[in-house]
Amino acid sequence: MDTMPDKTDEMIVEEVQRGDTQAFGELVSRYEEKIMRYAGKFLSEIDDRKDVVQEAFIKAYANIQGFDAKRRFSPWIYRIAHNEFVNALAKKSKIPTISFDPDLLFPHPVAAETADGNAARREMREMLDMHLANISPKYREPLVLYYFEDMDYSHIAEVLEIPVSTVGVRLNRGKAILKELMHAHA
Amino acid sequence: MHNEQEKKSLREYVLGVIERGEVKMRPKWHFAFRAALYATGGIVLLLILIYLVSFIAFVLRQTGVLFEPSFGSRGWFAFFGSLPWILVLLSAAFIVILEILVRRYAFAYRRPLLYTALAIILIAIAGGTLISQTRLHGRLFQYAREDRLPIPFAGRMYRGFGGQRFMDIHRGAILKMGEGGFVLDDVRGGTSSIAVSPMTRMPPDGPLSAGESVIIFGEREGEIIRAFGVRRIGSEENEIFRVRMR
Repeated sequence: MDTMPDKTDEMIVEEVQRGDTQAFGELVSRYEEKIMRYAGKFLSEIDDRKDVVQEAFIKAYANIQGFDAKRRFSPWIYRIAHNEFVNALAKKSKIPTISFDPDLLFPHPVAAETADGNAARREMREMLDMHLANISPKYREPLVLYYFEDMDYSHIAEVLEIPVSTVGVRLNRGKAILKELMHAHA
Repeated sequence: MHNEQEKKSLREYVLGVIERGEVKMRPKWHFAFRAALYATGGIVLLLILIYLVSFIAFVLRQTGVLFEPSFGSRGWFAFFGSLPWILVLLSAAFIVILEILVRRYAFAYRRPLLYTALAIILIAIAGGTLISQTRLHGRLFQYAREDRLPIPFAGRMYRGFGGQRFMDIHRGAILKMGEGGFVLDDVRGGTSSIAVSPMTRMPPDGPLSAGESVIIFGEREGEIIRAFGVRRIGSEENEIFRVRMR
């Protein structure tokens, strides 16, 4: 239950920064469902998702003085969660977390954000739910943030710390992979 | 209901961890200090990179390699063969480290990697060119030759790279014009006979005369240098190098 409905996330962060630790509970309440859902889609093969999410919130608290309250809180908390998920995946699969992505190298024309209708979005979510585990995290993550977390391109770019144009490229490729998977299983 | 209970438990768990003091909020100064450390590290790396680029420019001018491309494809071939590749690779490594360092900032990660890499390279080239116009490296080279450079390894570095002699590039002033060539007053203190043939690429801006400063691209055979090409250079170029070399 939201105990501070008239306050923005950033206002609450300022209170936490001034020492009100209870106010941090309010931020946990506001974001835990979203972050748990995000974790569920991103870490589909990891059982201890709750531990990873708890760790993300604890890290957020420890680092909250480093947050600039003039910026949006939402990409910041998602970024921390993203880092925790990447670390958790790396621990499980023992793959290096630093890898070079050629998509980040060159500029791409910024793909226009498509205004999917509610029905199209719902259909896409259902398709994603079925095939998410078969899509690599590189494409899975922007798809999840776009279709399940309802983020726009700039918001996703902030979470993943990549150019907006790369978000468009990854979303388009992710959708193409999804369609291929649909055809293969039809 | 279950969701509500789970929600409560996660919130309570996190608040419990905070209240028991198992996690501490890092103070603001920690982030300010870290940001300052990164910024300082970045600036220091950039300054080292600019210095390296300016040193490469100095070495190229000092050895005459910089002028080789003006002698066509053979000149370009010799140019790439004579580049101080260790310094070039070291500069490339610094560019990669700087790129990794700046990617953590929003102004960098919002743009393609190519843009930030090009920006770093442009700043390094502009800064390096600017420094190479000063007498900094010339003086340091002079000190190194006189064994008066107090910086460890720097003396060896300046003597090693700056004092290199390439077989195919020679610089000096024309002492005397003659049949089939001229005599060169070498910046290194000696004289050389330059043999010019109809195949020699002469300067496009008119015939040569005594007193002019030139750079010659060609192989030495004993006391004679068979010129593949000759180019005029500013006399001040030679004067600077003459002082340094003697």
